[in-house]
Amino acid sequence: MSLLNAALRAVFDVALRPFAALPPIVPVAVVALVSGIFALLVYRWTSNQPAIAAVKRRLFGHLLEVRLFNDDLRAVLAAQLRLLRENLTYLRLNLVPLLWMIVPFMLLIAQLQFHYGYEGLEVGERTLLVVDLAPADAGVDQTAPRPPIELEAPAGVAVETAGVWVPSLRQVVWRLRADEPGRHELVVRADGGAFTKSLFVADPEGAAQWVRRSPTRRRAAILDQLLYPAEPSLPRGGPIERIDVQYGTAAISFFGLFDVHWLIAFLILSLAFAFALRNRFGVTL
Amino acid sequence: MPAPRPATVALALLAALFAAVPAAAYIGPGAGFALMSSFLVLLATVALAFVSLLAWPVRTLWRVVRRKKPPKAHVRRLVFVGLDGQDPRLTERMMKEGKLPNFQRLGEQGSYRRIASTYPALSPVAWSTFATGANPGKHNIFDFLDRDLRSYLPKLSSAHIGRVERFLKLGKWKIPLQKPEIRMLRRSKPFWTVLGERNVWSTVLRVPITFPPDRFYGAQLAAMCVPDLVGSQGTFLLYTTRPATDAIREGGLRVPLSSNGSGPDHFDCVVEGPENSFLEGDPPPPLRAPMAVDVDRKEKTASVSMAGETVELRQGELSDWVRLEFRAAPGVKVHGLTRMMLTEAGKHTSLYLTAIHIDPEKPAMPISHPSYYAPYLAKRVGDFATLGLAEDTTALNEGVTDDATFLKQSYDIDREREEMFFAALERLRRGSLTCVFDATDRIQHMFWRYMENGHPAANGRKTGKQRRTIEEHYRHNDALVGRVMEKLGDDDVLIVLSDHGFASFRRGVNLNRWLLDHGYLVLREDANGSEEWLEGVDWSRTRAYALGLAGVFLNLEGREASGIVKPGEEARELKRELIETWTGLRDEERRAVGINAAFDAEDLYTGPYKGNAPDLIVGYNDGYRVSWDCAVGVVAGPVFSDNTKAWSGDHCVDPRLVPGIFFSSRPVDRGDDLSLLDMAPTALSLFGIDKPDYMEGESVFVPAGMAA
Repeated sequence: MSLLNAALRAVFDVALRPFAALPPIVPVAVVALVSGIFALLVYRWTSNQPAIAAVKRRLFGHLLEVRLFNDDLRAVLAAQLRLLRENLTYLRLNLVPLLWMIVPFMLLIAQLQFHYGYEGLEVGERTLLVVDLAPADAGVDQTAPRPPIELEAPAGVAVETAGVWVPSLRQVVWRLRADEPGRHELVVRADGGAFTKSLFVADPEGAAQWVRRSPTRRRAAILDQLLYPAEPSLPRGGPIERIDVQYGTAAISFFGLFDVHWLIAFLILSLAFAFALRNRFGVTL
Repeated sequence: MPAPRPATVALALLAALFAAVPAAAYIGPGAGFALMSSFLVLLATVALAFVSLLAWPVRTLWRVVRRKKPPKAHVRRLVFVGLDGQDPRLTERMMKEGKLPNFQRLGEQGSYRRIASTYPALSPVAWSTFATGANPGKHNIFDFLDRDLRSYLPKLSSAHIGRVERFLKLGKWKIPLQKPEIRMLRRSKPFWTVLGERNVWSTVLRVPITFPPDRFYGAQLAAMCVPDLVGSQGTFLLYTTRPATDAIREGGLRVPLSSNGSGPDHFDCVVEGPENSFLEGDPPPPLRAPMAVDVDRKEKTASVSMAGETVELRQGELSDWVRLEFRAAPGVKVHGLTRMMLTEAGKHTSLYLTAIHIDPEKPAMPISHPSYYAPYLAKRVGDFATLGLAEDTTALNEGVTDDATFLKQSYDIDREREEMFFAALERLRRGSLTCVFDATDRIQHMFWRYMENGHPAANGRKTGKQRRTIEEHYRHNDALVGRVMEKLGDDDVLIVLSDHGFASFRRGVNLNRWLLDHGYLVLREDANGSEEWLEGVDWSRTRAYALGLAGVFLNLEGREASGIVKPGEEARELKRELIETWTGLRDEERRAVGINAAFDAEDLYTGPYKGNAPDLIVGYNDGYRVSWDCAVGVVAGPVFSDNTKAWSGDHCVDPRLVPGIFFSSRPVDRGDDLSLLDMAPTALSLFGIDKPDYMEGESVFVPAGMAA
């Protein structure tokens, strides 16, 4: 999984780099187009197209039936029951292509989320760095002393407070201030090991605004690796469970019409592209 | 413990994933479509349920206020099953032989009678009388064709399809600012309209002369006279590498097929659709859909590609319906349906396409009422034939297809009709349902030649298996009647009827030739009579002419553009002269009577439209009919000639020779002869409605008896 994530990071970093200076709706649209086509192909190959076409015909037939017999309440209600039944059949027929698409789209969305899902810190902005330590063998101990854990910040990032130890959560929290734009590597030292965490500070004058940024680095659990692939996983069995930096949620401009989360824009565009291209690819959706 | 079904596993997996990461619940456009479509359908369903519940009392009240009070009906449902052309003589013989048990049972349970057809005994005329309860002088349908009084050219008798006159010009495009006028020429209200006025629902499926459809309280799918997409009454296409010989006269087009240098087995061609009214031109250029044909001569197969779809054909096998799409303008498409067959793939390649039917899902013309009824039926039963005369008799007549192909086409269309019929019957809780099945008529037209020895059209052909084709179809009808009977209850009434019977068509009669020979019709000096549609006729010296299948017109002064026969005494005298001469007219070559009688329209019809009728209706004898030449306005050739075409049976004879059948699930309460005129009053009477004044027949049931 780590290798796959590393490869995907590299691929997406390279693929999206040309768009880094453009409004994020542009790369989102391009990816939506490509994924729309990919989904159409998968849908065509994995779904029962004749059955889907048949159930859609029946669905629309029952809808028209409601209109046709609208004076006959019994007929209308019967048609609506049939509609619900066909709807369930339609959903069932969509499960197979849905299963085929889950994994690739999860990987894709996870990658895109770290490019377009978070705002970078601005110069002068403050944030918290939270380090979650691995649970102690003896369980929660409110009186446990602060473990020997240190934070090293590079030039351009100021550590404003000493690490605050929260024994009940086994967390150490520092407040940071971003002084210079760029990608900074923070180093957390614990149990003789050094663990890095990237911090991205946006440059209002710079060209590359939309590059990968990660609010969290976690241990190598499978689901976490799937969902948070932006940085290498923390080692299993190490002293640290996760390191988080708080970024704001990003909203991108939808062709200047309104601001929206990138996933919504991706949903709208990929649906629109798939809908527009479905006949060209001979797919019944 | 049983293994979990894949769907259950998938659902569980999805639920787990969605629960884990709400932001990633969207997993791509395919899934998005599934969820969105389902959601929209659910939303629409709930909204419709809500609106239906809210609107129902308002609609009910509105119906009561707007229409008259519902009558006290004597039946719950009335079902008319029309079997076009089912002949009483054959039916009676087969019943006697025990071959039609359901007809037999229906007759014993209720009634069986012969029923008088109309003058002439033609489907458009007869079914119009069935629907309106009026004679042709009141409903204005006298034949398939009428004539243009200015040009003498034929025109459709049942519908007027106008052109669009107002356009907005935008560069090379002209945007129509109005719809073309499509007007029904049948007059008088059909019984389903009268029922609707009293809140009784009717479903009317493929009853002839319902294009454009009537507007009434009910649903209707139009039939006979619905054109194909190019506006004709059915033009098949034959793409062929064979050099052209004769033109196809009756409604087909031969399109040369050439390989265009891309190999001998690959052909690029186009299918031409209707005129593109978005473009300039007089006439505007036709819409064109590219088609590529790849032939495998060894395997006797072909791949036909159109608009991204590929159809695989095997020689001699008719394809399913194939969708055609013509792009008229940006965002404007015209949709059609056709069926294809590779008829040869040897030295020559020939590909047959049926006429391009209007696509019922996206109809280019009004073929149903309400407009979404045809799409509704298409969603319920799949694609179906919409052309008025859907069975391709012409292609068989011209030898382009064969008996087996024609039968398959006819049976398939019949099956489509049955599905529609039973779907409609299933949904009908109270009201009337009328459905006409055409296959009996078409099959008898084309297979009569095998039923009798020595028919000129069967010359040299096998007559064993084909001889039983008509009987087999009657058995098929019997099974249909049985299935319908099973679906009906005690408070329903079933009437099975035909509009006319059938007779042999062995000899054609060219009355125009007879009129020429006897000086009633005169040709121009530069004409030889072989011109179609009477184009060689010198109208300034012609007194009478035949047009259509049964009618003869006088060239009447003040009516026809170049009329020379004075109305009044001269016209009456001319008619008397022709009636006298034609009654008992003999075919000396066969030593038989060719024409039983000719009838004066004045004596046959009453009503405001009798002036539009042919002046004389010709009653041919059994075995005779208007000849193929005469039917297309050719004057040349003999008066009597053998009919060698596959179209070998007909009903366009003396109507007294071809009554129809009438079966009802309840006993008829009348002792006198039944007529098609009686059907509309019967329908109204069963629902407790008095017949309007223009209806001439009488109910065949006594309402009091019905109530019991």
